[in-house]
Amino acid sequence: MECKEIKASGAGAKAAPAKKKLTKKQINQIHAWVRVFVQLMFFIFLPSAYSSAFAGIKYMFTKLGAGEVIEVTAFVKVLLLLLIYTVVFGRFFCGFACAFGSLGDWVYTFAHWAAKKRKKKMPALPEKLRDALPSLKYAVLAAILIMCFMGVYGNLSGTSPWDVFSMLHAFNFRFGKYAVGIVLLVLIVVGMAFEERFFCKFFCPMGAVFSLMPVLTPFSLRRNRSACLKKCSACSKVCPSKIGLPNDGALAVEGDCFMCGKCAGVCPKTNIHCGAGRIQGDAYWFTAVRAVLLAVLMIVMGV
Amino acid sequence: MFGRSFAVRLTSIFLIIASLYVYEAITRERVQADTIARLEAELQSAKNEIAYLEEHGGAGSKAGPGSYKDGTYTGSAMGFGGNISVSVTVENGNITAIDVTDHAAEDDSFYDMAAAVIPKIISAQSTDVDTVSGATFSSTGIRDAAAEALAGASS
Repeated sequence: MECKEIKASGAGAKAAPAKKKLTKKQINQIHAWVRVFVQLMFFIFLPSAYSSAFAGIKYMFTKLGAGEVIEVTAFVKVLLLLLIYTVVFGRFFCGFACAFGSLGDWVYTFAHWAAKKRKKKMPALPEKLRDALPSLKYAVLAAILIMCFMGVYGNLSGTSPWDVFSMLHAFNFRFGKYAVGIVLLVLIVVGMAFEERFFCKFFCPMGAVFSLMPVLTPFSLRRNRSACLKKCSACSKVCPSKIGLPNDGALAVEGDCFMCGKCAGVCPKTNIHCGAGRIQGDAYWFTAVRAVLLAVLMIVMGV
Repeated sequence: MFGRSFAVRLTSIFLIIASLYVYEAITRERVQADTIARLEAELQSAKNEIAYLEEHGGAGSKAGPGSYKDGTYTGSAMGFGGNISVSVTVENGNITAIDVTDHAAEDDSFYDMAAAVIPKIISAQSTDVDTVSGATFSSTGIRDAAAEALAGASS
């Protein structure tokens, strides 16, 4: 109840002075726009966090392999910030603040919009593949870290699609040695067009680290299964990761939940909420609070 | 797979933190011991040198002036997102300071890492040093900017 009141008053300040409660559709729309706005802001102003954080991990393993002291460098600070944030709020960073994740969302949305315009349907990945591929990101992570540990990662320079993306983002077009990276980036973008969160779910080594974190329950999404409509799986269908949400009170951790809140928006019973129970899964004010908090922390920590 | 349960993850995190802590303690101690041994060796060789000079009545050759012309020089080069400008101070022919006057186009965390190339240049008294891995573009930018500045300082 309390939550709904906050929603209504928040919207009153923003949109019209009308005191009417917002319809579910309106709430969905507001949440969608808040998400686009947050993603755009992070994309433009704080685009490098994912690569800094991952550079922190690579740095630690390089030092471990060489038997040297691990200093708390700028990269390690960014890494620690994002890991702690993820433990508290889940992979909100992935869903709202990661520039590469946002790129994926936009490529996917655009491709499906364009297909619809041309009255065609984008082919979907076979379900078996979709279920098997998420493990790949752990292999990518392990391979990179083993190479860092052995001190041979430097030989791979020019192969990282992230480097190429960061260079494009910075309008730095000196691609001399980056042929492999460019090819990989193109392949990834093609994949992004077909499958929502293609890279994040299947290949992202930073996502692999995040999805191994023990996410605390107060802010991760839960549902009251007994209140669900019979045989309804709308939330799992709309979910980019096809997650069947844990029940209220469960301590289970959903590693591939990006906190996008689409499940809450689609639920016909408005049955999806934070673990603590009071906040609805698509409460746009809560999304805004998390985004502002993350932005402030990132700026303070010098991302 | 990978222990979906919270408890498994929490335990693993604590184990990782604990082992990193132990690793750090051991490594720091080892590095400290190495440093002490190196300094003692340096001290000994300095003592030997003094003894030698006293015996032979030499005046002792101080570290001579470096090979650069004194002054402050500026240079700039491409970093990651744009130009990096530096100002290099030369005193007694040695590079004594490198100030980065403009790094607006670099991301902060990458710039912070890249700045580690500056003490390398000063201790080598040359811009022929390795760049910082993980921040290659930015550190190359600083190094190249310093090289451009020093081009005006060579005598």
